[in-house]
Amino acid sequence: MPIHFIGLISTRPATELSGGNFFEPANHPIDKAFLRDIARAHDQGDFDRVLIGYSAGSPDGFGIASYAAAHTEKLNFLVAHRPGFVAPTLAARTAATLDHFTQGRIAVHTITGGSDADQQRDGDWTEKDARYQRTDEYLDIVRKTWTSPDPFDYEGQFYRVKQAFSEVKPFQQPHIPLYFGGSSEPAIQVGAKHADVFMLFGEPVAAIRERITEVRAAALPYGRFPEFSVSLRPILGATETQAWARAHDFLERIVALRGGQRLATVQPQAVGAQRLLKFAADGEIHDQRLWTAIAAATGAGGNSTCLVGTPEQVAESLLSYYEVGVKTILIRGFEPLQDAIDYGRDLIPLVRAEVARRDRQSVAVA
Amino acid sequence: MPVEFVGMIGTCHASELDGSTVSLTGGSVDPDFVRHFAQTHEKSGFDRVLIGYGSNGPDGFSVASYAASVTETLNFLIAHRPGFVAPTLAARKAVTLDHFSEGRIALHIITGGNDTEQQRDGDWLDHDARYRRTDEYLEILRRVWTSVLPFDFEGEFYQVKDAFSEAKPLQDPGIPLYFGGASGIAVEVGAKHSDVYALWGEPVAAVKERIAEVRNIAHTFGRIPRFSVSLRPILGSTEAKAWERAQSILERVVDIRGGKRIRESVQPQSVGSQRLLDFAAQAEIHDKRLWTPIAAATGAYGNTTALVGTPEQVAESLVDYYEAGATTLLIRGFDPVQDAIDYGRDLIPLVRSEVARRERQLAVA
Repeated sequence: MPIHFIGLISTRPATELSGGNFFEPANHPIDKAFLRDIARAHDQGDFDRVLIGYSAGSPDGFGIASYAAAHTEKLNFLVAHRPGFVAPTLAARTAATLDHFTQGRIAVHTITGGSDADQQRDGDWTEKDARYQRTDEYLDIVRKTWTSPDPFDYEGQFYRVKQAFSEVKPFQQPHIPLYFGGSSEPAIQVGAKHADVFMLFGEPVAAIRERITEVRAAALPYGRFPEFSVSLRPILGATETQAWARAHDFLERIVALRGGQRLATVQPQAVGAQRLLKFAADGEIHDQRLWTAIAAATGAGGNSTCLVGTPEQVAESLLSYYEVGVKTILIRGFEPLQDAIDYGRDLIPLVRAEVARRDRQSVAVA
Repeated sequence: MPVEFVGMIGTCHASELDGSTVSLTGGSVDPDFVRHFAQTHEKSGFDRVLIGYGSNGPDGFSVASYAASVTETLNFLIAHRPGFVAPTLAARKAVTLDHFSEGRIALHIITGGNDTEQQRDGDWLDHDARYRRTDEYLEILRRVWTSVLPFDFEGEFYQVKDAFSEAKPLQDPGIPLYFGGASGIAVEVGAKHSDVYALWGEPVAAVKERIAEVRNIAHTFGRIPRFSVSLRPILGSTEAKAWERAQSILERVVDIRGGKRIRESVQPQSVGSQRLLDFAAQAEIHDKRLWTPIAAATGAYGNTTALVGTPEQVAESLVDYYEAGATTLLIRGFDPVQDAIDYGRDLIPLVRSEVARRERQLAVA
């Protein structure tokens, strides 16, 4: 089975290395030229798809995907979307509309939201476990809107629609792929039921293997067989020493921006973030090169564990995830544009070639 | 003030005569058609195109995104119903597209005049509550667009805490808000929030009254909205030919509806529709060429009154609306693409030059 690579695009070059002053011209929240550049770098750099993130202060991901699609040829998009802020029937039509205009280049990454404060900025006061129940209903309705040939009614705890129907069906059949993120127990139940691709943060390989087993077991009663994705931040160097020097330079800059703190004091609400912090507390390095120091310093407020090494070494680590069932890898760096170019040139081809070799081998053996 | 011409684009090649609502909303999405339709309006000298909203149709923001990427100067008016997207997110969606389109979008706020249509998307509020919600919605929208600091809002329908968008509209002072609605509460809410208040094509005297009414209420909020009127020109090289064409369009509309010339089965909930039906009941023709039978036959679900005549005659009627205070004219026909071409060649230049002539005259005086 081929391996899929996902990158990340945004409307400005901000990362953990950027300061917080968004009013600086370099930090204009919508920099079209940067968006075009980074989308094209991924398009030309052997990525299959790019994620577009979501937060309650950010530009709209569907709008970003529309623009980026118009400026690229074949790149696919993964639009992060939080249930609860758009009527599910309308969200389904929005995705279906964009699916047509991009000729089938979009997927939706459902993130239920792990922070009460961020939910409240957009007017959502539902507590976390209830949010997952809502996500469950939401995805039921989205799927029905995409696939139902006839008007349908739905009566749930959060949504009630009557004679819902979309004349716009997805360009992709049977429907637009649904990616799903979330690490809490309710998240796994809901994700197992709905996800085409279940996304995990970059934990050690053994932990990923356990998570995959757990989600697969939860998905089985629904007759579903999701694929899996792991998100990691490769830090490459021409030699291993250079890679680690670069990694420590990033860490020092991040720590300096946070007033010298090496351990974030804020306890995150998201279970995925809590898990990364626990691995960070267990050890700064897992599996030879899975490096947790930046997760620890930033409170793991997102995908923040790194793979540090030469392209060959990092490729080998990525293959160890592939071997435990991860067929999609989300990689992004700390210098977004240059990293996308470097990954496309130095890292992705190595992984693809080795995956192809192993696939041929298993065919030959079988 | 120059006149603004607004057309309308849809997303698939279906004659609107065939649908139940004589409208351009709904259907599936044919990107090539959208490109052609948008470029046709741009070449024909339209300032802007409306993108409709229906609970079974495509998403207008996505349609506008795509259409903006294949045009240079054409502006877009995205119909948007409050109540289905969090207002903070809707504000960010509009800001995002405002940047990507280089400031070429506006929103047309339609609160929804039909319960059935609302329930398809999961909204069970009644008509008046919907307008109260629209009021809150638009207040939050504007604050997201303008507030330099995070803000809280506590309303009947929305409660947000520390709402904030880093990105602000590209257009200064903001993304224009058009507004449609004809009921008493609609007028109140629209007068408070709209930059352009949109009216359907009623007789000139009635439009004049409506404008005076909205202006009076807007005045109490310190606002001075502009006005738009929506009409369906049916042109012919002679007046007789235009009327022939109008009759044949009517016959087809009636035919599709089982021979009924008056749609009695459904009494529309929307006050705007009721008003058009009242004018239709009074007379088939008002003001020489404002023709109402298609409104009568379709239950006036949408902008359905026509202006029938030669380009010169229809231009004269449009200038009458302009003189009454409608500086935006939304025109679309029953053969959407060809009509956009014809309007651009035969009708729009006449109106623009007459408006310019009058403006020069005023400047001299």
